[in-house]
Amino acid sequence: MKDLKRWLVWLMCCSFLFVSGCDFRDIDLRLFVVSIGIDVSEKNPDMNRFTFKMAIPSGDPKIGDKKSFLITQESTSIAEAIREVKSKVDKELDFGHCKGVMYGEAYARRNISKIQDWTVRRRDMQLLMYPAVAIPSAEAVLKTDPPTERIAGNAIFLALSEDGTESPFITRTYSFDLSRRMLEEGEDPVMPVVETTTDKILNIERVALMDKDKVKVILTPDETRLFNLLDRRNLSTNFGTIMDGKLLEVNTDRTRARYKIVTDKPGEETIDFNIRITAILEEKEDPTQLNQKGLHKIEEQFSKELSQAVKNLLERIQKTGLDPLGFGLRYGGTHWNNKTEMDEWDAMYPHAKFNVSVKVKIKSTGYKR
Amino acid sequence: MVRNKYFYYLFLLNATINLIIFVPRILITDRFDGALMSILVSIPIGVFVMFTFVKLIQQFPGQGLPEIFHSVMPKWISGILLVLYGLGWYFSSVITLVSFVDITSRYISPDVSPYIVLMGFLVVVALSARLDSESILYGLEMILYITVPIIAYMSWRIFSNPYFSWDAVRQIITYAWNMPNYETVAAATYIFTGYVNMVVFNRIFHRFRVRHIWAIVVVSILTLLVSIFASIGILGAAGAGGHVYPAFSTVDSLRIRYFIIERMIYVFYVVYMCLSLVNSIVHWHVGKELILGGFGLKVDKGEAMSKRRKFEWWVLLLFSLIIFGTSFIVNQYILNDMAIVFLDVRFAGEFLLIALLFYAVWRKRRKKA
Repeated sequence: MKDLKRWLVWLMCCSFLFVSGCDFRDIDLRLFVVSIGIDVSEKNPDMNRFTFKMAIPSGDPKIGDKKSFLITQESTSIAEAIREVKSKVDKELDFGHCKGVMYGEAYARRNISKIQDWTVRRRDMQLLMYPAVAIPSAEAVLKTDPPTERIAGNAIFLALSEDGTESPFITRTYSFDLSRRMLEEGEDPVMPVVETTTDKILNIERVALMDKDKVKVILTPDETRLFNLLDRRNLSTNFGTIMDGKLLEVNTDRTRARYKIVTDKPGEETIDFNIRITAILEEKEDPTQLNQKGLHKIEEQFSKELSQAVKNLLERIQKTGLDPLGFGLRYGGTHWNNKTEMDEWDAMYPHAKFNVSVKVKIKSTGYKR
Repeated sequence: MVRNKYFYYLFLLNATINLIIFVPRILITDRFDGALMSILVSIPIGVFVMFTFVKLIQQFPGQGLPEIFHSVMPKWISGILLVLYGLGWYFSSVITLVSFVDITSRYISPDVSPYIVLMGFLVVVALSARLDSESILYGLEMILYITVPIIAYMSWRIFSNPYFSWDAVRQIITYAWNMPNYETVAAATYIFTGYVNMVVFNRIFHRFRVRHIWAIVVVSILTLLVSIFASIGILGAAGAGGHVYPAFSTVDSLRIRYFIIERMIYVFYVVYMCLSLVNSIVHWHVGKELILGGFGLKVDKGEAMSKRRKFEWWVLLLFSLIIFGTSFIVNQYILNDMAIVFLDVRFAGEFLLIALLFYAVWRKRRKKA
């Protein structure tokens, strides 16, 4: 025991030596990179244009005097670009808080795998980053300065995560999800599209479907909403219809989409979607009071229209040959002939039929009847 | 004297440490070539070996392996065997500690020199390994009470994550019929190996008896399934193979909202730092006792005591130096190969241990008769 005590005291004294020995930099000597943007260089086709948005640490986020600035660097590789940026600033770059990677549209249509690999490989980058396609360019999106932003550079993450706004048009994805889908057989990646129109507002309402490492198709906002309905549970959104020339809107409360791949008859494979929605009536133009029968009619009309819309969307995705909902992986996961299943699936997917059945249930008409 | 529950803690320690460092990586590497079958095969093998060992060691109440071997074998044979077993058991802590230093510099603080981190670990482990067996078991109990609930919470968070891909898990399950191989079975049985610590801790158990084998089976199945499927669901069936530390990458993909820290990885790191250190302490303690026993140094008694103390320091210094040297020399590939060699040798060594104990029991009975 005495021995141990002596050792511990000795150790404690020595631990001070360790602290001064390492090259740890204090927080006021760090510059936090909050997002990275990648664009195609206009001058040189082999080079890319990297934009780094950096936040300058400030005392109190409540005051709202947030400061951030951009540095743009053209370079062949991102590692090189970072070293070049380091000689333009006075502090150590810290990527620990980097939460956004914006791929400019032109760049994303080429091949993002190089940068995506870098973000996963690099040790201080999180796997929880939000990747997105930026229109018109990553630089323009990062330059946008929404007036609602309280902490430098975080408006874009609040929108892309579930913390801030909850829009049905925003498809949420993380860096680990993106790289998983880029490698997975039978599931293709997706990314949200961030657009900036004026220099004050970021608009995220579309989803880009990718062919493993490049963007192929960008869906319209309406299609994006339906895509999100299929991709995730409990999407809160509105759906509208017109009945006898009068407008009706419902707000969804619970949604759930399930599908089954039916391969009973070879050559006539179908993918059966079963979507259940519970909703609340939100807007009704017709002033007459509703009764049970009228409500059923509304439900039926919604179900029919949504079924058709979802079917159109699925067929449109099918025509592109992409598989963002992971049908192929489901097929592989439910078949035991591992050597041939993926070839079977590839042959089957282009001519598979979709049966969509949507059941909308309006559980309340709000405060009024 | 301690009660029987400490045997379960020794088992649990190995089972939890299993979730990270090398076992998941080996299982995931073979995910398309019989990892699942290996897991299935390993459970009866592991339980059988453990059960046989428990039955055998019960024949020698209050005795450790050195006493047992010395009583039935010539001194030089038992000496060699004990030193070899001691070094072998110590070797697992070499891999744990070196990997953990690597993890620290990869995920937590790239700026701090790994040797300083290693120095800190070694001081803690070397000083604690000198404590008597009972104190180590009490410490182990406390650490497990703190960490196991957090591990359970994290596993639950992973499996309830909306981004968790059950289809990827199903895809791997369809590969279950592939033949198992020795290497993967050896890796999967490592989870049961906690019982080997009893070769030394048996000295302090009072009327050692194991009941509720089913609980051990259930815990081991859960642990093995979590260690392989958690990473596959988050990182993808194809993508999981691309990570050096799949468990850490998986946890890095977890986000805890409404909490002071946003990334789960920091919590996970602290939990596993505690567990790795305790694991190393236990292994060093067992290894040290076996080696001391191999040189015929008795547990106490006046004059011999100080000689034993001195020798103990030399053994611990040697242990520390080996680890220091290893972390100087090896890179991640050699480390992985070392882990595989260790697991393979250990698996065979366990059967040899059982055989030797059978021989000891037979000799003991004959002596009596």
